[in-house]
Order: sequence, then structure tokens, then C-alpha cells
Amino acid sequence: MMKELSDDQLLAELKSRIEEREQSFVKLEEMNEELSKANQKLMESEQLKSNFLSNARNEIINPLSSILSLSQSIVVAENTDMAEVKNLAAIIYKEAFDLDFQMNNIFSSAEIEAGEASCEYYNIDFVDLVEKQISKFKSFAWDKKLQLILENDIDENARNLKSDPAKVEIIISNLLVNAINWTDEPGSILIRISSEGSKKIFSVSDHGPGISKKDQKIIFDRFKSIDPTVYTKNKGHGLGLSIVKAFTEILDGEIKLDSSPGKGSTFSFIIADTLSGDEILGSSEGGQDFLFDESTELF
Amino acid sequence: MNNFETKYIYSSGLLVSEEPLILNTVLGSCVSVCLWDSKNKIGGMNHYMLPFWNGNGLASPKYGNIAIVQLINKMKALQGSPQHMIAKIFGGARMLQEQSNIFDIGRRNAELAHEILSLQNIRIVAESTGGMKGRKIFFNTNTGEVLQKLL
Repeated sequence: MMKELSDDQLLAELKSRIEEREQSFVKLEEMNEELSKANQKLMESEQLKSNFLSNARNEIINPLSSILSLSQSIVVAENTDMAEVKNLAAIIYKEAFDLDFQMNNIFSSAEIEAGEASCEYYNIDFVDLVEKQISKFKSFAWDKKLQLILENDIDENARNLKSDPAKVEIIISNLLVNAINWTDEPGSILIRISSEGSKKIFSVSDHGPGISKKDQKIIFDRFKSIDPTVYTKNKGHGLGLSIVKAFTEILDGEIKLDSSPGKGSTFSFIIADTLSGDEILGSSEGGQDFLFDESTELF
Repeated sequence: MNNFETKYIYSSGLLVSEEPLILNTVLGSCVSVCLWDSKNKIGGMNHYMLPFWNGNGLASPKYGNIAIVQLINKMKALQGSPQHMIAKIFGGARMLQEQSNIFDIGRRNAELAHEILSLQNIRIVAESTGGMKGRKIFFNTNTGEVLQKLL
């Protein structure tokens, strides 16, 4: 058989093999190139991360020192004027609340980046959860003379959502904080909740400056803020939305943004019931059944 | 598969353990690298969705180039050493319902694992990638064995 191959055939075969080789070589080169590009980006972003950390340091230390000094002044005061104490306590609360929020974001992003963000699913009263988040932020909105308006279109019997409440809270609180930070006083922020089948939709519309198409591409990136000069206004340092995006993905949800410059922004967070615990925790089928299955292969 | 505790690795997740555990996950076009240090009996698994982090969002182990390097680093942090590490790769199927089909994300995910592991001099001793079916895998971090079931 072999002898019957003509020289031409042999040559053609050789040629095609060489071409194959070359192709896989090119593919390898391409992959190498992409890898080094990705590493380059990672390095640049690590640079942003260290900027961020030094900013975050201020953001932790400043509120902490005002909490310390204000509470101390209450402790050492001789004539306690209740109204004065209440005033101080209100400031302490605000600083502590801010700190708590920032820390939550920092820990969340660290968790996500370490691949350690696991989920705990519960049955949640979605309406209740949203109302609680809104009331948490009411006083801060009030400080800015902003009104938070809730429109609830969820039926009494459709309030239940099976998901991870801690993550849903972080998503919603970040969207609320952004809306509050970016809206000029006095004004209002409209929050709508509705349901569609097993899906729940939370949307928040602000009257902020709006986001151009170009900027919409980068707002979910970490450590990026559209306008770095407004850091004092927008305290999140570009962490908030990247956490929102990552948690939304983990929960199999969706984030939509409808915005154009001058018209404000509407962020919508859409989430459905998580699959049943059995399907999610593939393990609970029982390892033993698995062993005796014929289609199982051992590697 | 023994009575060790079972942990599910979510997509974008990653876990390394020196305690004997069963790590399991379900894969479509995603890829899991199972690393095992045969000398120190340390095992770890990741579950990444896309090959490269493109600067978008958090630099999490959702991306292969981050997930594999992080997995190796966490193994090292538990005193695992690369010369005793072996790797097994799973997933990277071509899932028809996925829009990303045109780019064949699954194949690229699997290719990336080869690329990075060879850069780090870690041997790939077993692999089940490609095809059109999802996979469910169970990785015993005590023995390094992986059970796979096609879905």
C-alpha cells in the first residue's frame, strides 16, 4: 500500500502536515500574545489598586477618628445636654454607617477576587428587604434634601424570593448609594420594584448627570470612576458597581442600565429564584449513588 | 466516594484544601483545573468561565489567567510545591445554547489551561475537555482522583 503513494501525494501530505503544524504554532503565538496582554492589564490595574488602597485608608481612618473624638467628648462632658448629645450621636452614627458601608464593599471585593464568594440561599421577603434598605438610607438622602420614592408593583403573594439575602442587600445598597451620590439636591430618586413570573425587578432612577455610551462601558470596571475629580462626591472609588456586577453574576441575575447625558440614569437589577438547593449543591444527590453509575469515569 | 465533606465550587470560585474534601462542580464551557500535590496531599480546584480578564469588572477567578495562577499560589501558600503538583483538566465543552458559540469559548478555556500550566512546569496527567456535553466532576483532595459524569 505504502509504495503506491506517488511522490506528489507524499508531497501533498507532507505539505498539509507542515501547514497544520504552522497553524497550531500560530494559535499558540496568538494565545501567548493574549496572555501577555492580559498580564499587562492586570499590572496596570494592580497599580490602580494600590492608589485605591491609599484612598481607602483615608476613608477608614477619617471617619474612625471622628467617631473616636466625638464619642470621647460625650464621655468627658460634665454637664450633659441631651440635645447636644443627640446631635453628636447622629454624627457618630453617620460616620459609622459610612464606614460600615465602605468596609462591606472592600471585604466583598476581596472575597470575589479570591474566589471565595460562596452563597447561602434563603427564602426572602423581597419587598421587606428593599423597604429596609431604603429606610437605612433615608436620613442620608434627607441630608441632601433628596426624597426616596418607592413604587411597589409586587403582589402580596409574590413577595418571596429564594436567593442570597446578604448579596442582594449589597447590590441594592450600592445602587441606592450611587443614585443618592449622583443626584443634586434638592431632588428625588424613584425606586420601582415589580415581579415577572419568578423574577423580581428592582430599578432605581436618579436625576444625576447621566452616563454617556462611552462611559457606560467602563463604569463596571474596578477602581474606575468616570470623573476622578468628583471623588469627594462619589465616595465609592469605583468599587461599588464592579461588586454589583460580580454578585449579580454569581446570583444568575442581570443588570441593565438606561442612561444618557442630561437625562439621569436608571439601573435595573433583575433576579429570579435560585434553582432548588439540590440542583445547586450538586453534591446532595449523594456521592454513593454516583459511584455505581455506569457512565462514571475515573481520572 | 468516601465520607469526606463535599464542597461545591461555584463558577468564579476557587478552593484549596489540605483537609480531605470532595470538591465538586458542574461544567459546560467553563473549565476546572484540579491541582494535586501528591507528596503533601493538598488539592485545589477552580472553575473559570472565560480565558482572559480584559480589565472589565473585578479581577476575579472568573477568568482563566487569574484563576489558574491563583490556584497555584494558594497551593504554594499551603506548602504545596510545583514539582509535586499534577493537574487534571475538565470542561470546555461547546455548548450549543451559548451565544459565545462563535468564539468557541470552551476550547479557548481549555487551551489556556495547557498554556499556563506548561509555563509553570506543572504536568497535566489527565484531561477530559471539549465535546458537546456538560460534565459533573468530583475531586477527592486526599487521593487526587476525579470522578466524572457526562451530563
